[in-house]
Amino acid sequence: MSLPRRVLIANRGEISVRIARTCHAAGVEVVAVYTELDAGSPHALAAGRAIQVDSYVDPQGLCEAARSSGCDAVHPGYGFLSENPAFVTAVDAAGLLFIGPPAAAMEVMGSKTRARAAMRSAGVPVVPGTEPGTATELLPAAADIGYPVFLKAVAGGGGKGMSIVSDPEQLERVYRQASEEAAKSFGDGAIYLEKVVERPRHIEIQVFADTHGNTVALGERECSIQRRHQKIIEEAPSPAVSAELRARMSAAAVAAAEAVGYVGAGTVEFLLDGNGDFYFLEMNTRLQVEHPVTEWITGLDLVRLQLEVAGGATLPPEALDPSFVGHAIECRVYAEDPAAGHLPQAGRLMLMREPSGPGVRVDAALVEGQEIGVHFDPMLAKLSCWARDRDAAIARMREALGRYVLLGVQTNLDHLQDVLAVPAFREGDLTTAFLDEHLADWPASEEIAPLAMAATLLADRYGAGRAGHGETGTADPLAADPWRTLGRFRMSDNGETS
Amino acid sequence: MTARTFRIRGDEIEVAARRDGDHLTLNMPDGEQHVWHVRRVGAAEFAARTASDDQRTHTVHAVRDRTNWWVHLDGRTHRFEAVLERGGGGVAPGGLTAPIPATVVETLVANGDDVDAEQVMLVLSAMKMQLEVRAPHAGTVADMHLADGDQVDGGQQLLTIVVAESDPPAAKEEQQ
Repeated sequence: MSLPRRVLIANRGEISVRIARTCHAAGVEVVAVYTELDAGSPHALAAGRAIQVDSYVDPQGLCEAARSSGCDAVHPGYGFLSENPAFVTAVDAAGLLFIGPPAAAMEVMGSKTRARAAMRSAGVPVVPGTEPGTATELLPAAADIGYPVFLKAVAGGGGKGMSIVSDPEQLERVYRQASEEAAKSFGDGAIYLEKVVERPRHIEIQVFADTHGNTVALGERECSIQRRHQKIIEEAPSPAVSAELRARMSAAAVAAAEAVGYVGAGTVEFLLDGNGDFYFLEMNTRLQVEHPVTEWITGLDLVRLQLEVAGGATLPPEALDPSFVGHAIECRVYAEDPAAGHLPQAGRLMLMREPSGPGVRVDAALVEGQEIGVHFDPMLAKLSCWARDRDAAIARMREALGRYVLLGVQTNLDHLQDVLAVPAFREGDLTTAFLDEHLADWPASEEIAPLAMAATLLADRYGAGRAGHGETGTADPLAADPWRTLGRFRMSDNGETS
Repeated sequence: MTARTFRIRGDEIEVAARRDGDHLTLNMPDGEQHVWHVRRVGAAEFAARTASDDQRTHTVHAVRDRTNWWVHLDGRTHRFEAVLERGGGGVAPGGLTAPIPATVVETLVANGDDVDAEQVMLVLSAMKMQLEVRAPHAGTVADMHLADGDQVDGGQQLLTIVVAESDPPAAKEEQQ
């Protein structure tokens, strides 16, 4: 089988480390990239070879780095340039192999309107809606679709430029406001109408396609637990998806990928309502952050499959006819303050103890003493757990979260534990509004922990983490080392006093 | 008893604390009293037990930066803002611990002795090496109960150096 010989990983952080692991195991060399801010960072060290670039989002600079370091392929990871067709074109033009889909597939899926049109003609259900129009034109369409409906700005997105209308009398007034606001915010007052999917769940299908005409679905992931439209907990399989529904959603996802000539790993995202109806949301044309839960239940290494498909191989039998075993959950650990609107936090990671054990996986690029800045995504790590069934996976995850020690920067570890403890979560009753419905006032009350206080007093005595003599104020975890209080050493003979 | 103030998300909690070796007694604002035994077991790891349930050991991780104490205990992370010392001066900053299990081969100071910074106070022997324990700062020796030939555990407190009331190093913390 022909695999790339040397891969440039055009990314940073945990995903760069994760890609490097598979490459190293496959005997494929890797070259990481880093910017000035990231010099000496864990992902650059993990690769074994690293090259400095001006930016993670400069296609020419990255292609030049790949060429000068002797790479024959480029893996984009997720984020940054991973869904940028111009990057694919630049990589192709440099005579390198892009580990991902063709630029043309990316272009279609990158445009909301083109993607919807392509999905409609491929028979993939999309959220019922209209073309842009006037309030008078939209009124009868709203009656057809059924209230409530969204009025959406054509130029909006990411939750912005959306207004909800619950009865016909409101429509004209809300339309006027929405159009004026859209004209002001986006420079375009065009408005269209879309059905409101009530109490939706976010369900996505992992797809994989090779260059020999095979496109497969590798099961679903449920990603309904979100804050500010960002996922924090994902699981596979979904407690809401029956074998029959999985078959229907998988067929739709495969049709979506085939409609755009997809190659490699991709994810088709759907909204699922309470009636078992689902609607195409978008396709992510790359490896997904939450891919580990799919790896847990399928036993597949998705990065390894990406390398094989990029090298021209046919998907292996275990991917063409996948089997799903057990249940997996992933929690995203963020440097953020969940009690203050999930505001990103900075600080120095003074102490780190990662959980491990059967069915426990940590994807991270952290090192003790590291400065956690606000320049990049605040995700610190992904903790994923697998067990035979959902209850056992939740129990294992709660135990592992409790053993994850990250001190020196505020994280969401406690919040994640409390999400898993909500009875509705354990019952699998999830929607994208879950956190607002169940944990809006988190934390309910700050628990006073006398032992924690006692520990500070005792640890204080031992000088744990004490700043070096206090004058600079910079914390030094090594200052806790009692060796530091020792004087010079004298060699002795058999322990006798000399 | 020394009064300590913990600030947790803006709320101040005053706690009266008394330390006796590895035992710590806390009197909480609600009148409850907690007695803990806390022993250091790693660079930032502590093993803690309560007087009421001494079969159960809690692992505690604790570090501090300029303004906060960070404590991980029973699966939860706690952050306390600057722990201020209010009078008393009963908690000495100069506790010295054994870095590894060792044998005391020489005791050069006794309780009440004044020592200068860098002065050699004890000589330990471990791993066929002799280790000099020096004073990190000037002060008066206290809590010293070791004699030649004693075995000490890694992390065990050896002695304390009490700094004169007029010049407490802890005062720096209060100015932050």
